[in-house]
Amino acid sequence: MAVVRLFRNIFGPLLVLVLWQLVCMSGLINPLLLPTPITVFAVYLDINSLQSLSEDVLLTFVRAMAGFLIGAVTGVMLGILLGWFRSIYLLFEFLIEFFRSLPAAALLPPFMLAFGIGNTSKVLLVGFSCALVVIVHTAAGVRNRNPTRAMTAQILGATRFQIFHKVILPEVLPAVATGLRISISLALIITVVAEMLISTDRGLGRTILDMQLLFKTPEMYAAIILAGALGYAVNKLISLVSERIIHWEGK
Amino acid sequence: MTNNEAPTAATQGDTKADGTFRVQGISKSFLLKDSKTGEPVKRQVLKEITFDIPRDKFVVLFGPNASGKTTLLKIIAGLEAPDSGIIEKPRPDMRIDLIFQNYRDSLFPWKDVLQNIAFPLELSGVSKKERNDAARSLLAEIGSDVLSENDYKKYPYELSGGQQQLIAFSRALIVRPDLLLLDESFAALDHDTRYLMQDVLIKAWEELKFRVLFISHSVWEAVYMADVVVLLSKRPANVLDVVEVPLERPRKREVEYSKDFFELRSEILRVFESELYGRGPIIS
Repeated sequence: MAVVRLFRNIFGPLLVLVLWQLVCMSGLINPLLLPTPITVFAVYLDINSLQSLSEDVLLTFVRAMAGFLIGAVTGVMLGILLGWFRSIYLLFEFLIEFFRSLPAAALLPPFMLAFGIGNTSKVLLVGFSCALVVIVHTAAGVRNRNPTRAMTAQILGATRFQIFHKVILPEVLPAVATGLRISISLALIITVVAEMLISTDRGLGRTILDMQLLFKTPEMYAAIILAGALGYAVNKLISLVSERIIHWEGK
Repeated sequence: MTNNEAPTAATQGDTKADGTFRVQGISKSFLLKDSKTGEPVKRQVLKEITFDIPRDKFVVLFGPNASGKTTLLKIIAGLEAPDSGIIEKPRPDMRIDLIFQNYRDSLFPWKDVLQNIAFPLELSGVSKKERNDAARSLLAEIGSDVLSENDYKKYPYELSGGQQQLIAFSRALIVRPDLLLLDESFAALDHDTRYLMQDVLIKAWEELKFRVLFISHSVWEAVYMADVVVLLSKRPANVLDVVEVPLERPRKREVEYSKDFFELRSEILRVFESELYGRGPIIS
């Protein structure tokens, strides 16, 4: 079974690599525009490129995580508040839905004007976008939970605070986790876009764009693959952690 | 028969010493939206319901669908206020527990068996060791037929319906309530498990001596478990009849084949069906 699973997991990537190599070998495409996979992976073997790419990954990761954490903390707190007080939620529902529907990249210029061109504007935009997603999911979790458990706790003698912290908080965890899973991907997307648009000297977004402008396409693809690997890794991590903590979900 | 204040001489003293728990003239209406006009209409669900819950009688409430039985339980538990009428308690600080029909929605899936049962003690700040010990000894006392010690660290979703129902009972019983209200607790269980859990509940009741009000949808279950069956009418519900079940305790399963059992069951069905369909039994 392990062999079958291994085969299933590597079949897709292997197929893409082989097709990619075949297309390159056919001579139909200028190797300057599409280098062979071997040339791309050779970039990782170059110690200077590898070091510079690792720094890019780290920078992008730190920016995305900082924004994600800001968004997660404020999103959970506001989401619980808005889920609890339906009347307040209704006052802000339109605003939340409007900004959630607005493509986040469109807000980069005003964020630059407000917070400068350094890390602050990038991290805050990530935080803002993540917070909106987390608010919506958390508030829905609080609002749509089954009232039976809270009622049971009340009958068993729980105070209002005990009901909140021993029943409602754990009950809302699955909804919060869904919001966090969506926003961690969003955080990476916005960080990479922000790195491309706001003048920055380092970061995966910046490097991908610079390498394209310099026609250093193997380096560009090497950075893209790392961006994908980073996104995959944080997604897996958050799924594993939430399945561990929220072991009862879906059972 | 509407008057149920005629306990046998042997039990009368007991009942008096503990005071009377009386549901007295409870009425309740809800405002509903009319499905056609959208206008709010007042719909009465409970109409002057009066009956007693004596300490030494297993009381079963039996009535048609949507007759407001759950609302009545919530009112007795203090979760909802009646429009009129009072719940007369022997002591004002009596502990009343309500077990909802759907145990899946009322257990805490993030807590294991012992943590679920110990929850009321956790609320009052009892130490972890003490409350786990209390949960273990309660389970050993009332649940050894249903749950083995290997299951104590399992989560509710890893257990069967009957086992989950036992956790819900134990969680309510761990603080020794004076009155336990149960809302169709066994409706979702299969036949065998239902048998088992009925006996588990009766055994717990006999050993821990709490007052009990049990809602059932099954005449057979009502007669098997009850000393007193309170029959409710259609909505707005009032008490149609209070039927004493003089079958002896401890009851054995064989009692279900006895003539007395059959006659009691028929009597209740007769009252119930004539209320529901306005006629007597199909076979007279």
